[in-house]
Amino acid sequence: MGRTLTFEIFRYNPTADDDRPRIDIFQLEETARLNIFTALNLIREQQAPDFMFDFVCRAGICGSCGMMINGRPTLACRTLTSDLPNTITLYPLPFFKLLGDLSVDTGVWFREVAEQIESWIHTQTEFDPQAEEERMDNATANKIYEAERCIECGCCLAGCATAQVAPDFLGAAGLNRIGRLMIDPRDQRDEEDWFKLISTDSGIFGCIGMMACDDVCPKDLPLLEVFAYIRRKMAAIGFSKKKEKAAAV
Amino acid sequence: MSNIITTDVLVIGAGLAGERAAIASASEGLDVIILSLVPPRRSHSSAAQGGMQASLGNSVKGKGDNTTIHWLDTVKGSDWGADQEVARIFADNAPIAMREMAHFGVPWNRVEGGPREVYIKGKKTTIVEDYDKEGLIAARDFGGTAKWRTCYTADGTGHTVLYTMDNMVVQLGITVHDRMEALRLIHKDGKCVGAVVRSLRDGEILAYMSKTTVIATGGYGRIYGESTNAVINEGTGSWLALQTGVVPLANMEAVQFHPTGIVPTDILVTEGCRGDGGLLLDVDEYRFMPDYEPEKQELASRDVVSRRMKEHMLKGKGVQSPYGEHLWLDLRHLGETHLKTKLREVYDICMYFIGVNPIKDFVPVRPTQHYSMGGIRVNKDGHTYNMEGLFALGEVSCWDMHGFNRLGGNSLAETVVAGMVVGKQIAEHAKKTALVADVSLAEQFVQKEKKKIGHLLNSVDGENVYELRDEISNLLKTHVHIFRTGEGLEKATTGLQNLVKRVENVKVRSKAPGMNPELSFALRIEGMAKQALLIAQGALNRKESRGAHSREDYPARDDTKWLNRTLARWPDSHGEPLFEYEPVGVLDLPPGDRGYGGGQQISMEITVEEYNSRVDEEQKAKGRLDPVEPTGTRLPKEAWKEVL
Amino acid sequence: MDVNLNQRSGGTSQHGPDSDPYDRAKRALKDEWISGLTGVFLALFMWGHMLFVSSILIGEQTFDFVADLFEDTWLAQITIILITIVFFVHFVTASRKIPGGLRDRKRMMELGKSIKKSRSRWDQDATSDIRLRSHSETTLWIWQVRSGMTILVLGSIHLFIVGTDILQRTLGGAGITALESTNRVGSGLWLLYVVLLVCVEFHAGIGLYRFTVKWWLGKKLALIGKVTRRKTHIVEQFILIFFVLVGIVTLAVLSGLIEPPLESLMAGVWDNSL
Ligand SMILES: Cc1cc2nc3c(=O)[nH]c(=O)nc-3n(C[C@H](O)[C@H](O)[C@H](O)COP(=O)(O)OP(=O)(O)OC[C@H]3O[C@@H](n4cnc5c(N)ncnc54)[C@H](O)[C@@H]3O)c2cc1C
Ligand code: HEM
Ligand code: HEM
Ligand code: SF4
Ligand code: F3S
Ligand code: FES
Repeated sequence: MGRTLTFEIFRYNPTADDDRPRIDIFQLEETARLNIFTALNLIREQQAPDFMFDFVCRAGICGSCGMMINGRPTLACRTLTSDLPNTITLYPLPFFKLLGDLSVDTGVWFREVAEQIESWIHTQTEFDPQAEEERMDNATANKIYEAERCIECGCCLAGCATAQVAPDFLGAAGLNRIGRLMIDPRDQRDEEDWFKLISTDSGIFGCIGMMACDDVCPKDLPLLEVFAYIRRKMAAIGFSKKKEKAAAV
Repeated sequence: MSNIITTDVLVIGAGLAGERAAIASASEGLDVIILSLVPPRRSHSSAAQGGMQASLGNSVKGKGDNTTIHWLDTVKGSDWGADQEVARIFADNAPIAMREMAHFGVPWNRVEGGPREVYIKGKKTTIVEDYDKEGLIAARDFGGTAKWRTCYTADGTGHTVLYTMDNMVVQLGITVHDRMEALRLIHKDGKCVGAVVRSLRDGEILAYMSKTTVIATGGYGRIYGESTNAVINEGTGSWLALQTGVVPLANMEAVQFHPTGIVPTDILVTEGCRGDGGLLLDVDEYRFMPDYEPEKQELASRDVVSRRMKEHMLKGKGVQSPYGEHLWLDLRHLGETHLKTKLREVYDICMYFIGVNPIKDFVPVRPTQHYSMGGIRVNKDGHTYNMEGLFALGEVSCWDMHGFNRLGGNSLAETVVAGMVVGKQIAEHAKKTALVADVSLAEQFVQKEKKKIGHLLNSVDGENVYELRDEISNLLKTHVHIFRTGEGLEKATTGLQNLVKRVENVKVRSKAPGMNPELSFALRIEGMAKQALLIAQGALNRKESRGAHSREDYPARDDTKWLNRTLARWPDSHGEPLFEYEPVGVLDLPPGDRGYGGGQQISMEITVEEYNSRVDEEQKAKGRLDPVEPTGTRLPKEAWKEVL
Repeated sequence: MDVNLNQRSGGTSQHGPDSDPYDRAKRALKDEWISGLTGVFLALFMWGHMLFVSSILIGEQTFDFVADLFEDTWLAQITIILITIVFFVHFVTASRKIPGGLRDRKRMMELGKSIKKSRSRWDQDATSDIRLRSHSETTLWIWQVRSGMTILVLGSIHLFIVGTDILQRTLGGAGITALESTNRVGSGLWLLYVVLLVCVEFHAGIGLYRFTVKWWLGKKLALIGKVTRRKTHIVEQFILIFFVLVGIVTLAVLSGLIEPPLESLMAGVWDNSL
């Protein structure tokens, strides 16, 4: 305690014609259990009223506050300054479109990906309000939940070197969502559908195993395991379908 | 000329309530646009952890449950403040809603047949789940309920349900404009035709014009400062209604305090903690709740538990800390596996935010502002009072199934059920309404907002908006909290009346183009101040204790004078709000004892029949539009007698 | 740090014009398998190769015996052709993944470095219950690319040299012999070999680790049981160190720096046969 923290923060307002990207420096007295959420609000309220950043839940649940903290993409609201050195460098997440200062447009990107991978349950079954729900094994439900926990914070994309150079890449979050749908028995998409969707260079084979996603994911999702599952599945489909297709011709 | 966007249905708010309603309209082929301050999946619904109530009765501890028992719990929980017919509509549809969400893709936890160990009332107990229920939606225990009825996905229920809902929105191709803030409704002669909206991307002001407009903007907890709510829950939606001057906000004084906000960050740890067997301890590590509530113990309704906690702290049994007084939540006995699976968010929150490992240590908790039972008053179709074409649902509304206290798990369930039920009425309304793209009307409202913004940006001298915010929340925190007194409420009311005047004189320091966060906040402060005043003054007026509204000077629930609902409007010409009262609705279960909480009651002087005979007429007089089906049709008479 | 000032939000798919999506998916899968399997094949070959070359540790006779054996059975001839092909196929398919632009490569490097470094600056407090995971795999990948490039050059030279040897033998010459090899290595080529050795082992080690993680994570495998990242990493490092050590000693023997340390093992055998 008793430290004076120095914040080096990326600033740029794209809506202002004459603004240029720059680094602003702010000082703040550290208090007990200070986190970046509180710190940034104090800076905005006391020093820089035009300072833009995003927080919603401030509880590590909604995924709004991903940013680069000392070079690492992570959630700002649950990062305590006591875990950081005296100088704290903050940048917006790379990869996503910058909206201003530390605020980036993750929402539109994730919506586009959701459309692209059709991230809803594909089923022909009509919902019958009077009928009992379809049964599901609790183990399966838990497995789905494990992948469903992604909060779309975008840290995995910001940390993935591949995503930086391949803007088409679905990224860990996109692949994880597909994995979640693949293990859901309610989704009736068949193997060929999955294969066409994801056995591509913007899909699973765009991932070259940098593993940063797995290391930075604030929700500790088992991303690499999901990817390995998808890869095996793709190989199984791709190599077995060969025979079928040949036979059909 | 400003940009004008037209659509059939305009939904303001992309939480569970807004999205479910949008789906109802879009699946009828209507054109829908959803507006949201943030990307839909970041809406506060995603932060709900514990679960949602529906009487599926699959778990062995929920055996025999049915919609009537759920309804009974809800009405008792509300301390008879609820509209019993609406509570009935809710309880009847909740199981359908859960199943529909399962169909859409929510990975509900499922029943696993066979024995398992659980904690009930502090004791380790073995229960045996039925094998023939295996694979059906499971339930956990929550406060104030007769049965285990809360459907859940670990402690990420809101997250999974919202993500599933948003996937449906994507599937139906519903347009979502995120980072858009509705500032004012466009209306004329008691008809709502759209809203003036400010883009939080570039600061542009636009007009959206629609046949039907829907407000689903969630709670206003941030007005309290210390709240479990997200930072975007600043009451902007209820402010939209209040601004019209004719649409009333109801029961604003009914504010819920959740027993377990963690100290010091005020983040919620779910009621599921206690539902799954967590215990409340005092400074001596003594479990005090059974002394106060022998029957329900830690799992009485939230108003009761919060009150008991406060009471116990006032007896000097709180734990002193630099961040104020608190009590302990003990989860250690639940074990590592349980904490790292079914209460994983809770575990993470404790670890990351306060550095407490709940496997080994107590969690510091205290009652914290959590939910607003009150809000925009609507009839049972979700139609607002006095304003045709304007609907409201979700936490922002006062559909009024919660009365003066909402049960845990009933709110998330409400969003989805109302989304279905009210959503249908919204679609019907849009289908039979023609679009009035009255450009000059829109322009008139847009200019009003532009002028206001111009005024704020040109201010050279004035109040600091953040300081005003702190003054508002301090008054509420000090005087309009769990226990209220006439004296304190007077102070709060006078203070807030003063603040309402001061917010007119805000100075915005930042002149930056674009989103300009200070300007954005300055545009909300008037609404926050005025709603704070409604809360304080409503509480001052209400001279009784009911549910979460607890007056030390009027400790009894008074069914003679106060079995009614507060309605507050704020006409433009008035310097102060107008308060009116209406009957809570048709009664089926006569007011009685809740079975916990131990309060006194002053009984009704008139009979239930007499009370009921006035309901329709009095509500109409307050501006209620006629619902599609007459009042009371959904309330099966005395069905509750069969389950008692 | 690279910030996306682009006014467009992140791109999504822009599939090729009108090729059949199924065929495209198939091709992507095949490319991946070819680069992966050729890599793994090369890595396995290198282990065998290392054992072959390290036969010099047991003496020059042993080395010559093994060399003769391979050459007489035409194994050497077949292998070198096969390996040369696989070598180039791997090079072509694997380098698909290497970003073309210098700017892109720089961005990747910067990001890798910054995440790696962020670890050392965070969480100095070892008592904290929450530990940040360190991250090195991005940087390792960049080194994988660099070592791959080096192997391309040095490996080609090496293949040419030993290829000539084998060709000679086929035409009736001496082929690979301990004498020839020690002369070569001793006269300065050891420098090339040290570099090649380190690059190859590093590249193959990381490659195998990555390959295992990519395809087998969560599965049960012989030797390592349920495959986890940590376990694989440890096994990989162990193998890497083992082969680099064996290689260095081998090179030391080949360049005449030390005597073959295990000569006594087979001493009796060769004496008798003479
Ligand atoms: C921490 C926490 C935990 C909870 N846990 C539970 C639980 O376990 N069970 C339960 O039943 N209930 C729970 N609740 C309550 C429940 O989550 C909420 O009541 C419910 O999610 C509200 O949903 P909603 O759709 O009405 O609003 P929200 O989900 O809050 O959505 C509001 C939407 O409106 C938008 N919006 C707001 N203002 C504007 C504007 N001016 N213009 C445009 N858009 C706007 C926002 O961007 C957002 O999209 C919990 C609440 C909290 C705070
Ligand atoms: C000709 C020179 C070489 C170049 C340019 C090269 C390049 C590469 C590159 C860029 C990768 C990463 C591909 C990816 O991640 O998808 C790779 C992977 C690999 N390489 Fe090489 N390499 C070369 C030679 C070798 C050799 C000689 C070996 C064996 C000793 C080898 C073994 C591997 C292995 C095992 C992989 C992992 C495959 C995978 O991840 O799917 N490579 N190589
Ligand atoms: C069939 C093909 C190959 C044959 C017959 C072969 C043969 C040999 C021989 C005879 C030596 C001893 C040194 C010398 O005589 O120059 C050697 C050393 C070496 N070779 Fe090869 N080689 C082959 C392929 C490769 C490949 C593809 C690589 C890697 C790209 C490689 C890497 C090395 C290295 C690193 C050494 C030094 C060995 C050590 O220190 O242990 N070789 N090889
Ligand atoms: S996978 Fe993890 S890092 Fe990526 S978006 Fe989801 S939660 Fe964030
Ligand atoms: S960091 Fe990127 S390359 Fe793959 S393993 Fe993760 S997505
Ligand atoms: S603000 Fe929601 S995750 Fe940080």
